[in-house]
Amino acid sequence: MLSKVKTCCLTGLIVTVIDVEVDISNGLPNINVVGLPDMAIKESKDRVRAAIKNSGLDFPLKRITINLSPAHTRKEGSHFDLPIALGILGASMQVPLEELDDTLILGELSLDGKTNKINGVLPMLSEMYNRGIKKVVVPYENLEEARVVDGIEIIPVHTLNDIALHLIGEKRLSTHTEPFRYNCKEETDSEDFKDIYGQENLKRALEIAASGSHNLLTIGPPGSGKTMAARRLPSILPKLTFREALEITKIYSIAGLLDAHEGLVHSRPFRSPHHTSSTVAITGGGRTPKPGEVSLSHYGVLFLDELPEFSKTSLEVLRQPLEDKVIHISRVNGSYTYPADFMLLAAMNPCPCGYYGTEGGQQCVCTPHQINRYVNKISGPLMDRIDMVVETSAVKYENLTGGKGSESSREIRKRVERAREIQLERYKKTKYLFNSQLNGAAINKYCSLGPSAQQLMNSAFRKMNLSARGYSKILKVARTIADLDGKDIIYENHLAEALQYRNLSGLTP
Amino acid sequence: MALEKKDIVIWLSHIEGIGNRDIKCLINYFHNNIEEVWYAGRKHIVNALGGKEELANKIMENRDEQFFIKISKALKDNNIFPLTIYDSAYPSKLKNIYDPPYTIFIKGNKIEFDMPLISIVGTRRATPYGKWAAHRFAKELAEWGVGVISGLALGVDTCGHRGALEGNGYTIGVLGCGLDQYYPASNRALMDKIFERGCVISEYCLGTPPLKYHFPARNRIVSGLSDGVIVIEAPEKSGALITADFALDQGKDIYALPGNINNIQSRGVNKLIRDGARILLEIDDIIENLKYRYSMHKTNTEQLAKNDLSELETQVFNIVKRNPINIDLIINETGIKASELNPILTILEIKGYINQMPGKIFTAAR
Repeated sequence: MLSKVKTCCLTGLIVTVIDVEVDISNGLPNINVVGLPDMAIKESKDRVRAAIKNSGLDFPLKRITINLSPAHTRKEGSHFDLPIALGILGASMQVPLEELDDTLILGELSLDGKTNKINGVLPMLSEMYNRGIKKVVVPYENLEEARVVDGIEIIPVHTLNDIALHLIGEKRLSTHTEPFRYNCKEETDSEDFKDIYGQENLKRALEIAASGSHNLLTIGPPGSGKTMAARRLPSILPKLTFREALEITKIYSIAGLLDAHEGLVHSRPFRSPHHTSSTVAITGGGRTPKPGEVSLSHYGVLFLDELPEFSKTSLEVLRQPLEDKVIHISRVNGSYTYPADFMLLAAMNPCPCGYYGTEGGQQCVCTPHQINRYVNKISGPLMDRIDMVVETSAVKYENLTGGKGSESSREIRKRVERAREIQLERYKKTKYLFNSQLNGAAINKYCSLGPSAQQLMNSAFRKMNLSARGYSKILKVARTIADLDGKDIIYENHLAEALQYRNLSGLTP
Repeated sequence: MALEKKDIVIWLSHIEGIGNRDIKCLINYFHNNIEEVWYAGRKHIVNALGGKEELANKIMENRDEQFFIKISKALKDNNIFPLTIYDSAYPSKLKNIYDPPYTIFIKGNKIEFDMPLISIVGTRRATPYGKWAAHRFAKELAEWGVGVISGLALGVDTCGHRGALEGNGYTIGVLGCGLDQYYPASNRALMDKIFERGCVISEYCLGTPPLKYHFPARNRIVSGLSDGVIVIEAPEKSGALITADFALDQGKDIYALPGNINNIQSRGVNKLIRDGARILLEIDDIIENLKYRYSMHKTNTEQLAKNDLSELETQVFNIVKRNPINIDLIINETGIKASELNPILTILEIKGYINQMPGKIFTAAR
């Protein structure tokens, strides 16, 4: 007997429909999986055999051939267990499969017949829904994630027996069709900007960077609060829109980092890989490439602490995703593309010992050569992609009279959200989302300077030795500052503030 | 072809192994008739050099007019102008030191030694304070029409040259290697600028590598060419202090920039002050002394227009004027928000009131 059920598999974010065909014929008891399965799928025959047996159903002692069609693409993942099991049950006439004709089946099985959580449900379902699939069987633990796909009918199953009884008609399972309601949770982070005393300038810079998604580099001696402020950045990032949440969730789903209780990623990612991270950990990779840090921080923040300590190659690979906002990874198995639209936040010391330029207290003991070598680890092309540079210095506790209340993250976030909305409105009909993405002609179009600002720009150009690249970076930052101020045109004070975030490190040999 | 005295000296300085001291020996031996070297027998040369047979052999081998023509051509091709102690254009200040170089090679668009010249020296491992001071005083000297001499090394030297160029002034760099080399390589752009607006000097012929013992020798030229030496920052053992020693021997004024007594890089300078060097607090300390020798006029004055600052700008400027201060402390003191203070600081920077140093520390520009 022959049976056929539908499932799918993922290569990167690309979904392929797979038909699982099961044929049972007379012969020596044997089970064969063909159609370029990977190890997880080959092993699934053992899981399926045990699961069927332990669910009180019969595993046919016959020659069983399982074909995953189309046969020419490689398949991987553990979610083929459930479709294979149902295929075998159907082919051995234990359950009727007519009902499952247009149903997508996904699920991994335990030996006792229980279903297990699988990765990549959201990207698979949202794509399959667009291709006309309206009904899906998923493990119960993936229910929340599957519900995100609006309009699809979901049959969540706890065990293999559940679905078998459902198909036979003995005990029907309830289906979920209620529409998904997206409500972004209010962050209840304990880390708040109001805990940081002093460092008002750094806080302001982070506010601007968060508003326009500008890449930001902070330079300062140890203990000047770089890391502390950076860790609080998520608390002022604008809330996720549903579209953004969906895209982030897809990536996290593939990487298997999704929380079972949360269907969707609710907060902007904040990734801070250690500086020993390999190049592949940053870009993504592996035999069948998984998303790396650049993709996991999609629509969020990639925080690289101690920037020059990262290996040169790990830093240089950031150049392409910073430019294209996607990363292409090519392996023998195929070429994968993951989105990688992140804001880069980096922190570094001014020299290897960390104290260069510190007044009083600790003194720098580095030679000029050491400092040069340290600073030169950040290549020119990478520096070009960093819009803002902020230098911090350690502020002594006794110099801060305290008392003056610092702003809370909630207040800062309100301003960030407003600036964000202004940008979304302005770039509604374009490919841009943030000011930082503007380039070439778009800068001239959207960053118009007021007359006095133009005058200031001219004198700044002469006085501060700005390059053409530096010029456009300053315009973009000024645009964001004007947005924070709610102004259409960039005025003198906006530009003057932006000029303070230019890169000065080149001036100190 | 009869070689003149100056040709002989140029020729000798191109012979490998022959140093300034050897030339001195030859000159003394031949009673100032250095032309003799071209004709004298080997025995005389060996005697003149105090028995250095190998050097004598080299001189004998290179007694070749073709070789001399080649040298002249190479100098010309590289736009290098050799100046020997026999030329009238040879800087008189340098001539009067104990051990003047017999030949100096000069490259640059402006060559002048009779104007007031001050050298700025200091450690390569300068702190931001030292760099700031070197830059500031160089710029102010330039505005007074004083040329700035330094050694084109990293740190203080670089900042001194840069400051002079920024003040549209004249600056001389003195190298410890041949003029065809950029050393340190990172100062290539700076050196090109100096070629354009001043000149670079070396006593070493083309192709000489920067050897360690060249640098103390170079320092005697740095101080020798000048009317006074500013020591910006120097630890207790430092090339800058060697320059100060030369300056002392040569009878030049020494100005020492006082530093924090805890700072290693200022220790040598502070000791100079204890030992009697002039303390450098403001540019007038130098100008007053130069006035005895030259007529001094401040050129290129960027007069700050009075009252071109708003109330807030004045408030911020007054705080910065008091003491170099970090941006966060200004915020803390004035209560002005970062978003408002940043534009004020930019305006003050552009108007030339304040400068920015590493670590977002601001100092009054004058």
